[in-house]
Amino acid sequence: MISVTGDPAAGIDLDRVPALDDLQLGHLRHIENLVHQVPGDWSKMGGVDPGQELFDAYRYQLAYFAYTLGLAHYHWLPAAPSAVKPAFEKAVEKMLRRDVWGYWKETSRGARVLDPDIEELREPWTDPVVRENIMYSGHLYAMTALHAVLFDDDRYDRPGALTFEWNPVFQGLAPESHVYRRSSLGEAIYWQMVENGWLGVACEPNCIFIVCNQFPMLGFRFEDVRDGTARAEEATSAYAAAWERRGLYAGNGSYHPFLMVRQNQLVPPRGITNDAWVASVMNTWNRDLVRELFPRQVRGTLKTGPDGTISPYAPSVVPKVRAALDAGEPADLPQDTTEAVVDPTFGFVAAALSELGDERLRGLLAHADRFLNPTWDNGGLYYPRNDRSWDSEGNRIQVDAMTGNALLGYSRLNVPDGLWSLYQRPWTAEHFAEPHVSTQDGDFDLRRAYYHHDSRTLLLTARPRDGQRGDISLTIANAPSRPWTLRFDGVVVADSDNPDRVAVAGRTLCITTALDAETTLTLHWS
Amino acid sequence: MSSSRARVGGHFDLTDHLGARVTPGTYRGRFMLVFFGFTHCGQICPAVLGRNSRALELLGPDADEIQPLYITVDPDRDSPEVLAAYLRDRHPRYTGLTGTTAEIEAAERAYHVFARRADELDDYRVPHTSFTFLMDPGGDYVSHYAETRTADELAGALAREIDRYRGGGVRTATAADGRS
Repeated sequence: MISVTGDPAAGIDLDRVPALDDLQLGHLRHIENLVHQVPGDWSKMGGVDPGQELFDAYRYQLAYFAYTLGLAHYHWLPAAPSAVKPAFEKAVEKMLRRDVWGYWKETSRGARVLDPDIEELREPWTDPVVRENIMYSGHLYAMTALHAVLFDDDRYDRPGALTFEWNPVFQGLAPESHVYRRSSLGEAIYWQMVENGWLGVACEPNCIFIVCNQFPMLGFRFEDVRDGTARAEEATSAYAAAWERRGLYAGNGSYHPFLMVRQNQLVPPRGITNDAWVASVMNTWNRDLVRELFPRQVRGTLKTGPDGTISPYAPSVVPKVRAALDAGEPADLPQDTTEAVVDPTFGFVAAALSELGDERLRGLLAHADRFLNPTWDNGGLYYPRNDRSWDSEGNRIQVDAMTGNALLGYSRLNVPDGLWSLYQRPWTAEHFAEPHVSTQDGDFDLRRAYYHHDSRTLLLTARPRDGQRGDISLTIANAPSRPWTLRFDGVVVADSDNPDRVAVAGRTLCITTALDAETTLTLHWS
Repeated sequence: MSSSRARVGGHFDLTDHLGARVTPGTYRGRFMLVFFGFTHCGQICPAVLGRNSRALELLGPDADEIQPLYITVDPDRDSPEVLAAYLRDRHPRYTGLTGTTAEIEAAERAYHVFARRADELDDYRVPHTSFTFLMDPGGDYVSHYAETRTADELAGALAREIDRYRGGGVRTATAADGRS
């Protein structure tokens, strides 16, 4: 032993360094568990609709897994891409499976419900991104572009990186391959937006949803960061102008959910589900408008329950609550438990509150932890699907797969203006040149991973998974060319002259050790 | 295996303002600077056509390598004669193109152009895409420029593309890069 100090973080106030709590770690672990299920195993991810047509579809869950991992990396574990990158890439890998996008062949034919004037269905096509379907392509574009800016990695822009294989086992015809890369996916989306006068790209045929067109805006922005272009500025300003002419929101301040293109008809606002979803994403590029509208949109939609818990009112109650508020009367009305809850309203509201820094998020999460059956499985935390809407005391208990697997975790890992920060202040080359954990091995979680630039200290807090002692290894890239000291909970265990447990190869250090309890490792360069 | 690139531009079959039938092949060997609009347009078209004409002036002799085309999105009103009268004094470098509704819609699809007639009271408008497209002498898409570009910027971008096509490297210019 070289020396001992009593300072676990070598002079840095650990309380000021971001650290994940147990619940946040649980959400990340659950995402990891799900994306590492063997291909075709969608356990815990199944939704009510067999055709991947509703809001709990795999594509939405996978996209929000990626966004959650991105938020976790950016805001909580900036010095450990190793902790999130493998799961992120698994999510993208699963997005490319036919299970996820194959619904499009049927959906591409059109639908009487969404296009009342349709007289016969269209000829279908399998390519899920060439035309329409922004509810899939927009997410894939945002995911792959976010991957690039988070990990300084353009692997999804390599030729053929995003290839869709259509080859049903018994079809016996020539298989179809639709070959894309990140940039060509963005081009396909961009030109469709141009064709549509910048109102956006259709999700279902004939329907341009406002919310789904927010995600390619993230893609444009993140790709701009990689390429030095300015497409996001063009897209968002043209989009805003187009919708200003057409009417983005109704007189009550709620966003129209979508435009029926052929009828040139806006569908009336649906309430807080759509408003919250739009706000949580559009805050990235249109923050002033979101901040102006959301208080009006959310007014009277949230019910306070026992011990400060909060949950959304059934939509049928909201007008009565607002009327009471307008009249200055007590507005704590009973829920309407005759109304079935089906949409991921709970999750989208949580996501919006998290992005807008609204303190009511705490109440919503408290409700989830009290009434939505929080469940730990294989170290992961989630809220299992529950199709019952209300319990016997009128508490909302419905959980869909999107809320239970993705949105509550997303909300718990987000910070105020969290997605906005990713969009507006992406990491620069300076960040990527700093020491960081590039790969990790072993059964452990990182609660902290932060490089303190001023003191040239990398802080890592590691905890064995499931309380099991085991060997771990951490590869530290971009090590400065200076003498270094490694401490475990303040105890010096190695330095450049005595590199016990540390393999050094150029600017890379590999730390290998046994881990039997939560430990803070500090790697300090003098 | 399907192609993954969004194609911009392509075939059109139209009538020019002198009454001749034209296709992209008519202009092969010169760059095409393509703008879609309509002669009754009150704001966007005059501004963009003016910007484009000024940029071509700034290019000097190199402008001779560029054929500017003004394709109407309002064929019901923009006959060859109307186009000719509109362009003669204002933008003499330009050739106006029109056609049947089907021919115009095909050209719009080729260039991903949005155009929708909006009848609002007595104000007849056609909201439309305001990009200016540059196609190379082989007829292939080079770039497109938003209406926000200045004449100086556009001239610089065009000059660079001409040099690039000639294989002469990149010319020093005052404008930003051509990508919109």
